[in-house]
Amino acid sequence: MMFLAAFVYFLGDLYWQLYLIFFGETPYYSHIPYLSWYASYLFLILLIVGMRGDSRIKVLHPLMLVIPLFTVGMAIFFMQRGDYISNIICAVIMSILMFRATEGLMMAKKEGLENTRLLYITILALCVTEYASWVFSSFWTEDSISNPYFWADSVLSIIFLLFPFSLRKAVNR
Amino acid sequence: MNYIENIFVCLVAPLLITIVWTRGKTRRMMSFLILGMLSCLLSSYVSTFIATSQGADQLAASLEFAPFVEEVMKLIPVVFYLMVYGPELSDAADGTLMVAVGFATFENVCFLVGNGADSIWHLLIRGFGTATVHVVCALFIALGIYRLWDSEWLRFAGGLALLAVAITFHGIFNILVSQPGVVGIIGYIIPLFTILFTAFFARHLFTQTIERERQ
Repeated sequence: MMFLAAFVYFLGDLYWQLYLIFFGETPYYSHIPYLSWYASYLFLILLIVGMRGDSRIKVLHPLMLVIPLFTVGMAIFFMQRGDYISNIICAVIMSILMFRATEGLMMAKKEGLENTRLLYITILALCVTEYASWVFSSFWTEDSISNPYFWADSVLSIIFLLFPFSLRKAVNR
Repeated sequence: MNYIENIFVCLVAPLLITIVWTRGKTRRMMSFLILGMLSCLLSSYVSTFIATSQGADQLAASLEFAPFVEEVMKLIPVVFYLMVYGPELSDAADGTLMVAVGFATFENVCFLVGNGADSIWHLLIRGFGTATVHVVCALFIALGIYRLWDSEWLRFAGGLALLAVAITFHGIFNILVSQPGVVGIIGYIIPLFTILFTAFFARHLFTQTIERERQ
């Protein structure tokens, strides 16, 4: 699942970059790259479900309700700049991913799965960095090193490099 | 005008006769072949409709709408077969590949009719490249059927995610082959390398499920 998550994320990036290189602009009509990025998050959700061996939600801490509030708030913010459907889909998928990762982090000690903590932290870091990069790209558009979007994108690359390490730690119990 | 409907009728006629005289798996695979050709025909209508309604030109339709429409249209017969008939997973996966083969075959025939058959090298590259990309995309879906169909929770989410993989791969292929020269040739060759790469891992990817079916 981890390989598929990274692979489909890479495919989405590759489509975007190739379109930009050959046609000098980002795709206008297409949601193909967005579809692949959402698929990447779906694979991460499937990874978490597979790690825990159960698709049922076992804990509902009040703090976890902040997650849907955050993702819905972000979706409303981005709907001012983009279309409604893709932002709704993104909010739903990210809510589920962050919710399951937070739940896994909270239940790790109780279920005797302390090794999986780093994996859940990495997934949550991915989600937070993604939102940060989307917000930065809404306000900063210049092509310079001072654009915080580049820094967020660099952090995202480091997070992807951490994934194999955190997954190996999680499966070696 | 290509008269693709007429081409469809001409190609499908002998296959329909074959279906009458065959039984079992042969009949099913012939049916999937026909459904693949029908998917190709319908995909052209749907892509054209969406592109026209969005005000997009032919290039944008090919790069941004066609991958999505074609992969979804290829998936519909297989999902219907799985949901209604509940077949063995290996049968459904073979059906997925046959739909892709039918799709690619019809697409290549329409290309021949529209562009002629004079350049053998160009046709070799285009023929194998286009066929392979459809088969590679079908392999992604077949992988989902093999590994995820048993679990209700996984089959939906995993199926969608693998469909996205197929759509994006197809989209990248369309971008590359739309370019002239070496880039276009590289675009046609990439699916061939992908399928060779997949062949090495096919046994590992599919064996576990085959063994589970045998138990």
